[in-house]
Amino acid sequence: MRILVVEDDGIIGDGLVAGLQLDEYAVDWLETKSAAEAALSTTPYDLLILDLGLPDGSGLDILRGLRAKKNPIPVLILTAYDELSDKIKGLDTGADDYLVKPFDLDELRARVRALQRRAMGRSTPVIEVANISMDPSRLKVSKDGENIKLGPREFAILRVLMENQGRILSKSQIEDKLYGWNMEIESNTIEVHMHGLRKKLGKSLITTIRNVGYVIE
Amino acid sequence: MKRLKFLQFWPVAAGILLITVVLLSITFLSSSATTTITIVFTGLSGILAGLFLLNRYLKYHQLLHELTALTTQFSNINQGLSTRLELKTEHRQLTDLVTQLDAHLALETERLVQEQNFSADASHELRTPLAGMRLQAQVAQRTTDPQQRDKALNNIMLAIDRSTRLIEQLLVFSRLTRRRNIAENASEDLLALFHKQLLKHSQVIKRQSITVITNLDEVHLPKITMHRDQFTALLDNLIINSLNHCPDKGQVRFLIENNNRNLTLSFEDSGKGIDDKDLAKVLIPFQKSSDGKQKSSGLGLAIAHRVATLHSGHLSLSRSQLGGLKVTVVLDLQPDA
Repeated sequence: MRILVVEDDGIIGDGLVAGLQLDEYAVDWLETKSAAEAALSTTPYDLLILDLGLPDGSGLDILRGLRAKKNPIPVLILTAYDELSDKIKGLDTGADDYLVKPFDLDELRARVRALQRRAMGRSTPVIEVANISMDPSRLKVSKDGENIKLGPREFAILRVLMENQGRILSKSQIEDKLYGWNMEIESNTIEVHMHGLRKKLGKSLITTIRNVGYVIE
Repeated sequence: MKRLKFLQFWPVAAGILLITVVLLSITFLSSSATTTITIVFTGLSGILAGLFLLNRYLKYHQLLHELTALTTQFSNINQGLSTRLELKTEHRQLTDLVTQLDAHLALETERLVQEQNFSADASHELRTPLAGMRLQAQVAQRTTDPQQRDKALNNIMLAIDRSTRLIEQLLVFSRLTRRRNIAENASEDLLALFHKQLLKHSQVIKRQSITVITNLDEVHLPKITMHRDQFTALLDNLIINSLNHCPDKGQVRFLIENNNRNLTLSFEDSGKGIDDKDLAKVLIPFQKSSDGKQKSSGLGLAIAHRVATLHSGHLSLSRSQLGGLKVTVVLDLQPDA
């Protein structure tokens, strides 16, 4: 999953990136309204974490712009203002959730998972496909009830494929969801991790569609 | 209403009693025309005196009634049900009193709103570094990467420094009162103070290779009556403001002009400056200019502005010939006798 963080405070922005990367999300961080609007128009993000007080305008303007274009991206607002009217205004403008600073990193991570679940149309926190079960909150995967140890990147690729069950994802689509702008990707990274996943979870779980991409049926 | 009738009784009774006495006097003592005229005159005087007393009493009673209404209105204000007094009265003194009280209430209401806004803004500004500290502390706790942990701890230190600076600035701002200013003013050497503050920032100036243009060594100033701590805060904040907005290898210019009747201090930098539409905004506490990020606490210029005002001076902002912002402080020169 690829997340865009829009936060003008350097220490909070850096903390958000580091904290969300603990869950193997691809995170991009921008500090201004104009940069965020440009990024949102070119990159398909799965979630937007938005600070309201930006140096060149309000985060609410970004949100209004997204909803006006019928963009359904889940949006979590971060703000230092805790007045009820501010929360209502944010949610009524089209935000999906709201956190007041200072907030707990674990709560933020849980809310991100919940928003992701809702966006995928799931009600349960555990994702199940065939005999494979994944618990994103505990970064755990099991096959036939038995824990399977995956590397962080393998886990992230499996999560993307399981969340998009039945959809063929190209290599670049998978890369987009796994890597932020500042991360270097080797040309065969995805193939190497696919090989590792097949070895641990069975060859039949992930199907390769030649010259198109990968899918979990 | 019962009380009202009772209270009205005495002047009315006094009037009636007086008229009765006059009529009785006419009946028993009217033996000659002169006596009759005297008696009639006395009777009329009595009636007029009674009416006068009645009128004064009714006015007095009206005043009591209006004071009671005023008390009720004050009670409503104290309960937050109203914000001003409204009284229609014939008593000019009472009208004046109500006008003055309303003006005072308006000032107090405005002061209260300003205080509330200031507290809300201050807590908002403090929440940001606190949020950063908490977030980075949790990252440090959860990461297994030693480099990431070191970076998070370093960020916590930065956030603590920022909070400390903000709290110090809040304390300085809260101490900028006229009472303190009048009570603690003393004769000071402004040039020495300016030199001392500039020296405090020599490391930053050296690190950023900033060229400082100044006439501090050329100008001659008499000792000046000022509040030393407040003026130190003014100089410090304006020097920091210029240095903060000056790019590496840029220029700052600090000048003092002695015009005999007044003193002009100017602080300029070669940074980007502030848009004209933001000039007034940046003097308000915690207000960010729309062109970029706020590097400091958001109180520096507000503190300098308040200090200048407390010293019967004036602070203004304009575009510097160096390219950035020019802050000018004009003070009435009051050399010590």
